[in-house]
Amino acid sequence: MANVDNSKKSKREQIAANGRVIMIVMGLIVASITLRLWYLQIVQGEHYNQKSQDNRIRTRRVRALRGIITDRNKEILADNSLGFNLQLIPENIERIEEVADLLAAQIEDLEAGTIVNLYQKTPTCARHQPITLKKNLSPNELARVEARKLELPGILIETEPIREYPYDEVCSHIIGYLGFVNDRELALPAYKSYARDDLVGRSGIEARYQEYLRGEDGQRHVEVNARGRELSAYTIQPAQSGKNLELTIDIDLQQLAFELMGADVGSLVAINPKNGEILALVSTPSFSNNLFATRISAKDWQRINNDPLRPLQNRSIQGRYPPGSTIKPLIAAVALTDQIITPLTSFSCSGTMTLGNTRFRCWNRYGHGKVDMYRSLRESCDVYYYNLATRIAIDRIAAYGSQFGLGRTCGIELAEEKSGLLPSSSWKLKNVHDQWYTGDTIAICIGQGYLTTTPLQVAAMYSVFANGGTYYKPHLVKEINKPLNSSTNQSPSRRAVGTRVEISNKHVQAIRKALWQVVNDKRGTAFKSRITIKGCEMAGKTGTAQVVKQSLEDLKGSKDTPWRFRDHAWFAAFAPYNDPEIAIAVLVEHGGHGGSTAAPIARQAIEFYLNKTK
Amino acid sequence: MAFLRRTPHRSPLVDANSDAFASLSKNNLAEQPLDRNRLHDFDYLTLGLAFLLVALGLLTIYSATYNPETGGWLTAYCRRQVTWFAIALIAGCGLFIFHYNYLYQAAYPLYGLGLLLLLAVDLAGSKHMGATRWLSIGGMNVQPSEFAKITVILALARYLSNRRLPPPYNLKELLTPAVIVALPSILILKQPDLGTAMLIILISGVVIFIAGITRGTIITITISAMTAAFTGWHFLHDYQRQRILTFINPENDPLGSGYHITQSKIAIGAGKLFGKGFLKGTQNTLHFLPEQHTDFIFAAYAEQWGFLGTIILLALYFAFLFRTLNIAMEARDSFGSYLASGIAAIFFWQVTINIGMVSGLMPVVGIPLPLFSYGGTSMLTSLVLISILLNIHYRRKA
Repeated sequence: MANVDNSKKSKREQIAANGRVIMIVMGLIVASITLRLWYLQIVQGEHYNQKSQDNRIRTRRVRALRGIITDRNKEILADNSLGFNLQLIPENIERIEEVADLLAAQIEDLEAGTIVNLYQKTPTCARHQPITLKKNLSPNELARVEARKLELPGILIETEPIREYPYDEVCSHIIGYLGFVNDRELALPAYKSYARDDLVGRSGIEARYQEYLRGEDGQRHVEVNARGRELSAYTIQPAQSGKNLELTIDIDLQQLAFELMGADVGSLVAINPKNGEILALVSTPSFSNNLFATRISAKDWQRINNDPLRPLQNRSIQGRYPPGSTIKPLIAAVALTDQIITPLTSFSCSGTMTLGNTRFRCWNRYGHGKVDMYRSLRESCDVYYYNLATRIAIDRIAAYGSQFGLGRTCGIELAEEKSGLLPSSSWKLKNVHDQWYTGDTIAICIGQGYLTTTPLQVAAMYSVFANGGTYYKPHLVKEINKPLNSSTNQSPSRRAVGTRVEISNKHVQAIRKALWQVVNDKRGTAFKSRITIKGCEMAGKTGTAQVVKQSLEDLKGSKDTPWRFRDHAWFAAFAPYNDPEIAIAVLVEHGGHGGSTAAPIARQAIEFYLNKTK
Repeated sequence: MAFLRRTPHRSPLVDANSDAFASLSKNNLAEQPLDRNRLHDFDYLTLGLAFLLVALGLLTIYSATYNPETGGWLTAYCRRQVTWFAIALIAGCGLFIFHYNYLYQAAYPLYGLGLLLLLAVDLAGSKHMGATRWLSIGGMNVQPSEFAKITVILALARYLSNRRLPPPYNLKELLTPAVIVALPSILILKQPDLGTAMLIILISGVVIFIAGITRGTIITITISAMTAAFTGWHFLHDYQRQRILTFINPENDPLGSGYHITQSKIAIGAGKLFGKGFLKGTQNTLHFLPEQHTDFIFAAYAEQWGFLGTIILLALYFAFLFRTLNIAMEARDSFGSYLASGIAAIFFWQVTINIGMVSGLMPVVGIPLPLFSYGGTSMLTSLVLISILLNIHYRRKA
């Protein structure tokens, strides 16, 4: 401060001297600003450059399209379509109450209060981001919103792939449905690659093949401005669509079967006996899996979940029913194999058989008279099998039946399969804490008692009789990742590997002949449902499974019997008799007689299928 | 820097010490006509520098307001800025015709008018973002604090040049100048506009310093200023305190009040040595940078042109400021000198505070970069001030 001294000078001198000081100070300040800029732009330049990149580039996930599911003829069963979501951008809305009122009037299940609440809850920093008000608008709602677009600023329609099931409830038990991954799952290591909004299969094929179907999400770099608006995007890792699945199902047969079942409660399973491919797997009543494609409404969920008929249950693989008389060919087979009888060995039926103090009745109270193996099946004589029951050990039946798939899960590609119950003496000891009695075996031999089977197991069992003694594992998936439009098989069809059942060809042919008579002999229990088309003859077996104890027998048969006390109606069959293409099991809960209720359904399904494939 | 300090044709000036502007008469004014033969006395360099800065500013305003979707060769902001520039140019030219000594005569009345306007703002101003700074006159929004900046300088220059007592002055002798500065400053502080109030005090400080003050006074003022700063903290508004706090640590609240500084530093730093190129600044065009065409325009410029660009811009400003101080030192009388140094101080402090603020050296105060930032008032004031400077320079020979 050499120039600042206290001696009095002229104003001119002061100005010259102090002006120079100011110039120096100015120079110093400009120099320090230059230094600062050098620090920011040269020393820290790269750091700030990176920050400016981070500012504008956001990484977004590109959702992979879920794999498509088709039937054996490439008819699409599960597809991805466009869903329209109603969204709101808070910062673009001035009078939320008006917008909310207008929207609530146009859109179902949307209340003005909820919208206003969502709007007010949004923090300032997120006001440029859209909030989803309702997913998957109906075409009507979409049209109504579009028509009022000008009155609804800040409201927009976003598109999103949604799962669509063209056949809806016809095969919803097979395909299953999707649900949002939940917080508990997200914490698990298996769900590491999932994000909050992801859908996962919750049942059926969708659940079992989740890992195949989901594909791999890609990544996209999005350039955004300071308000978060997307300006441009480039994909750095494309999403890989999920693998497509081709099922063994024939959707035409499935649909027909579904219609044939109509209002009946029950199940229909059709299998190709030559390889175990499941052609149809129907369970009624059904539900609409499209309802689950977006978040299912509480009302719909209540309705489906609280239905006393339990539509969510897949009766084909989860329903455990006494097989009734449909078990008889198996009992005959074990007796033949163990040489307890020959096909012509006969027993006398007087309508009842007494064992100890208990009288076991034949369904025909007048008796069948002299009954051999053919007649026992043809006319479904119970007493014949009571006689066999006294001669075969239960554990032998258990071991033998297991070869036909009874008492164990078949391993179908659906997670929820039940095994049914093929009891053994050790099972009874362990679970009922009692020894096995011959009386128990008697019940087993006519398909009652502890014995339970699923319709799938019955169909698989009849497949064995149909193909002459080989058990093929029933399965639903034919191909994985076969591109829809390619003619070449990428993965060769899995060759069906069957296991030979312990039965001689002679015996299996005898049983087949007996089953042919059931349908085609006019004394047979299913004669009315025979197929007359040449070369398409059907063979099968009726079954009537008791739901209640015989003490209530007197109630039965009358029209006044309450529905839930009526017998289950079974019919299991295969056709054509000479070279079977299809084996089928039909169960109608509380349907009464198998011959009159279940057999016509089976016959129509078989006729349709044989006609179609001819 | 010899080229910046053009030696006058004749040895300087009437002794400012003896002149108390008694010489100011109609005769005297008549002696200074606009003479075609004296065009070489005109300071083309200062004007050229100013125009260069305005041109660079326009280019940056264009890049800062350019919208790739709508395109267009001139943005609306650019057009308005050009319009304001034209208006300011006409005003400056008009003012140039008159001898600056008319300003001497008008200094006190203008000062009074400035105070009145500030009072009017206090009573009837329109509120904008929590502060009352604007006055609506015939549909036009006027910011009287901008006007007050000039009137305070005028009043100070007149008072100091009028004074018979030779400098340097001590504290007691500076009482009247202090009152001249304090009255508008307090009114502006009440708006509240801490930035402008501080600016007026800083500018006046430079004028008084150039006029000459004793060493003891400097020490006393420094000490009292520091104590005032500490006690003044209590009287600051929350937003003012917040600004100072976020200035100290802007990363503390990246999306809140520190956002401005953080984004501005990113923009400047991302320019690196050569810049991202014209219209290629992402901070700028994607609106991460706030106020990118007004107060933060320097950051937008720095992102596009890098360190080299900022060095050039700083050099231009420095040359311009150097010239204005030179004009102050060469003025024919002390009123001209004080007025010119006041104007130099206005430019100097605005540039320093603005660039210091956007580069994170100073707290965020709403002060535009003169000649560069978008804004009509700022452009008008700047060109009028330059016109006065050129006026003083043109008439430097007695």
